[in-house]
Amino acid sequence: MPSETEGRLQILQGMLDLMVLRTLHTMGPLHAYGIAARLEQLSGDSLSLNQGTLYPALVRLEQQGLIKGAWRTTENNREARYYAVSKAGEKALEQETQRWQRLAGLMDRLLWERP
Amino acid sequence: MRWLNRFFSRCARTLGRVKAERELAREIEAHLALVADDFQSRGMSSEEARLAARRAFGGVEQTKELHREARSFMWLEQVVQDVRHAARGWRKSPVFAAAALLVLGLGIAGAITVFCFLNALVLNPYPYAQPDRLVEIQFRGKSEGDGWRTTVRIRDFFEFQAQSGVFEAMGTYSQWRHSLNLTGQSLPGLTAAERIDCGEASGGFLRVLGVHPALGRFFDASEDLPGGPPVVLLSYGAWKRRYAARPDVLGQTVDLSGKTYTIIGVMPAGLPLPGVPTYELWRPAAYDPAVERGMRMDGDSLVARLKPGVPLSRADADLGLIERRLAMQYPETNGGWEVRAIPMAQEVARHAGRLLWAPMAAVGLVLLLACVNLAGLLLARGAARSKEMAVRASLGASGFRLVRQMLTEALLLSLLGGVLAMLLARWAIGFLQAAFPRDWGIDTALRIDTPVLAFACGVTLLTSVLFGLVPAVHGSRTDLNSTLKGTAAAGAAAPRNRLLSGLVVVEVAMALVLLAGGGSADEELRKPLTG
Repeated sequence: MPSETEGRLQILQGMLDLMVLRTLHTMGPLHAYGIAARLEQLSGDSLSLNQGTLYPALVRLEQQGLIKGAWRTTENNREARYYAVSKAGEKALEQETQRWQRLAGLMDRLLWERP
Repeated sequence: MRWLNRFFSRCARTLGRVKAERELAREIEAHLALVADDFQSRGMSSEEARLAARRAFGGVEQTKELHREARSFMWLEQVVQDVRHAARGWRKSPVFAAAALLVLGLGIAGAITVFCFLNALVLNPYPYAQPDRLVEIQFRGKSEGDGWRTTVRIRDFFEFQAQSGVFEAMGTYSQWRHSLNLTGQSLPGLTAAERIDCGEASGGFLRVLGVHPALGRFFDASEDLPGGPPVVLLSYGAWKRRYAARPDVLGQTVDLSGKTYTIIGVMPAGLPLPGVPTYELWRPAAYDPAVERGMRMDGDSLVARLKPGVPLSRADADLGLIERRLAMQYPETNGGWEVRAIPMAQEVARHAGRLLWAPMAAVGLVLLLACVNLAGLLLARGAARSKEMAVRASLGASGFRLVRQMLTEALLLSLLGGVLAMLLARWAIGFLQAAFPRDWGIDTALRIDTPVLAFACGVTLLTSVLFGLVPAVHGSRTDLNSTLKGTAAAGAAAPRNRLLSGLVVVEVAMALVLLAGGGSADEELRKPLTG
């Protein structure tokens, strides 16, 4: 069960994969810190996320061929590994989004059902 | 050959765990630097920023560990996926799976069986003590074209025994069976008046080999004389077969050609000597150097055990000196003769090797043939599956992933084939053990031990690569566009057909070689063992 600590949300592994995919899909190629910053910004501090926890998700996605990583330099001339969604990734994102929406719809109906 | 390069570099990358670790460390380092930059731009000192970046990142080592776990877990997951996929494919086409398994099982079983012989007879032939000190003494006449003989003149044997200083023991054993009539008291299972094969040995025969009788004792010098007390030893095989290995055979008697012999012992199991036929009994040769038999070289081999530390060259020199002395003494029989000592291990290996070379080559060819056949089967199946592959490739599966999937299937096939082959080989070996004369010791020497198992595993892996690689690589290189559109029929089928017909040509050629080889192997096997 995802639990809450000090009012911040913990997330499931599969959710994080989907979040990363979606972030890359909307933002274009990003490095891990960029992804983390985007997620923090979106959640408005309600998400409890160590930036390190992104890495297992990234390696999973990369090994499934859903994202592709490549070294580039940032605008401040630092090197960083940028990740981009692959063709297969786009397809998976579409499927996962649908699945998530159906699941969320179900949870919604279930939780707001009147007794 | 570019695809081959690509394939190998991909393999190397997958194997590059070290590289993955280094890459990860570099990425985390870069990450921390970026975060620290950010904090610094918000007004922190560089030291503060560094610490804050660490805090935001969480545990570095923990992250690495999770990363590693995800990496290895993914690998395992993919293997499981591949295995499941392969099994599903076989369920859909059980005839293919059954045919492939049978072909593989038979092919590998043949190789294992012959290797079992090779292992027992050539690689590990000697149950004797310090086999490197065992030599067979051979002779060559002066006339041209005379080969080295493995038989000795009895008179010369006595001379060598008396004069040579480099041997710990010398002994002879008969190459020819002496068929004796059973009269009166016979062996269990045989009736009187039947004939029985008896071997003869002399001198320190068992001492040369460094083995002891399985039961009782070997004959001593007083029994190995003309007119000595009539004693015999049972061969190990005869003891087991006729007496159910009962220990109370000692002292029992057997009547041979009107003479009553006392059983004083049982020969050790497994006497792998070059060219020894099956004997039921062994008796002392009890040579009489005076009679004419002593001048002929008609059937007794001379073996000897070198004293510790004596090199073969000194034995040769010593024997040569005695032979020259004999030539002067008996110019009409020994003039111009040469003598040499040959390590027995080498002799046995030569005999066994000559017998085994042809079967080994044959089973090798059969196995290759099986591989070519399977490669053809897989290629044909690949044709049916090209659409599936194309769909998977378009969904983002890398070429390497597809090759690996098909190689996994091949490996799984050959592993199952290997298990089947092991069962078949066990049955075949059991059958052959029973088919060989017991006294050859082959029934005890033949067994499935560690080297045989290792060989079986190696052959199994090798076959999977042999029959799996070509179809796998070929199958992964489908032309997406035309295959998916279904327009590939004419265009893409051409190279596959060429490959298939090439395989058929190879198969026919190998079958011909096998046929021709079978003929000459048969001839080879019919040649007498000695000489």
